[in-house]
Amino acid sequence: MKKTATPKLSLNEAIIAHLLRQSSPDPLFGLELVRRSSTGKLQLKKGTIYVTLERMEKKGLVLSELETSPPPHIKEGDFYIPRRMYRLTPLGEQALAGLEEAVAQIPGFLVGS
Amino acid sequence: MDMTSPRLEQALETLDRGVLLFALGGMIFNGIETSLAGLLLTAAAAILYGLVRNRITNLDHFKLGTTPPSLPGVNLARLMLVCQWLGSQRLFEGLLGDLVDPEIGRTRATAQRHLREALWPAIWNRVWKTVLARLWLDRFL
Repeated sequence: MKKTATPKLSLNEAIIAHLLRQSSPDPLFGLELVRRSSTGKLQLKKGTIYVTLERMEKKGLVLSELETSPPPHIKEGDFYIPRRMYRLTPLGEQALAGLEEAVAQIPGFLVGS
Repeated sequence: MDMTSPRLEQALETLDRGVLLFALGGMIFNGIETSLAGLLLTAAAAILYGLVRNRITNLDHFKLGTTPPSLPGVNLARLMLVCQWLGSQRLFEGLLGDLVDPEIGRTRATAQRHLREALWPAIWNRVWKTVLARLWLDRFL
């Protein structure tokens, strides 16, 4: 049987996957991901978030669906379209776990050398 | 035509790669022969192909469930057209969805500034990543 390889994550993809796992089971939309990343040193940018999410969705790392109800601050007559909410897939979780495992091995590798 | 069929997607990807490689070859050889006209024509042909190809992929997309109320200062038709030719449905939805945010969609100026700051970097980023992916350089993404 052909073994399906777990996709490797780029830095931005890893940040997104990490934030989505943190918020699980609640999905997040793009701008919220950018905001939540701004507390750390590794920040997502407004100009790249949707392109990265699109690629992650194609790779099967995240799933998206449109928001079912408007956020509480929206009043009648306000501009509103349903936002696309993203959540991590099992494949995404697997890819993130694989990356974390590889990163955890780095100190040992450096000390060992 | 169902643009989501995996076979069609695969065929179009092969076509993209072929066009991109020939365009790069054309640019290199025209460069060696210092033919500015050749360089420009090759680049123009590749850009035209890329634009039309993206537009074809996006033809059946960009369906909003409901017609959103107009947003002062934001030309939705123009944003949609730019995203159809240069971006994607996800990009369009994402940027439009950002305007729902009270901070961004509050005034005409904040909405316009957000689109200015996010749209063009996003499009450039998408084009760059698409080119790298077509050249089998996904690992650098």
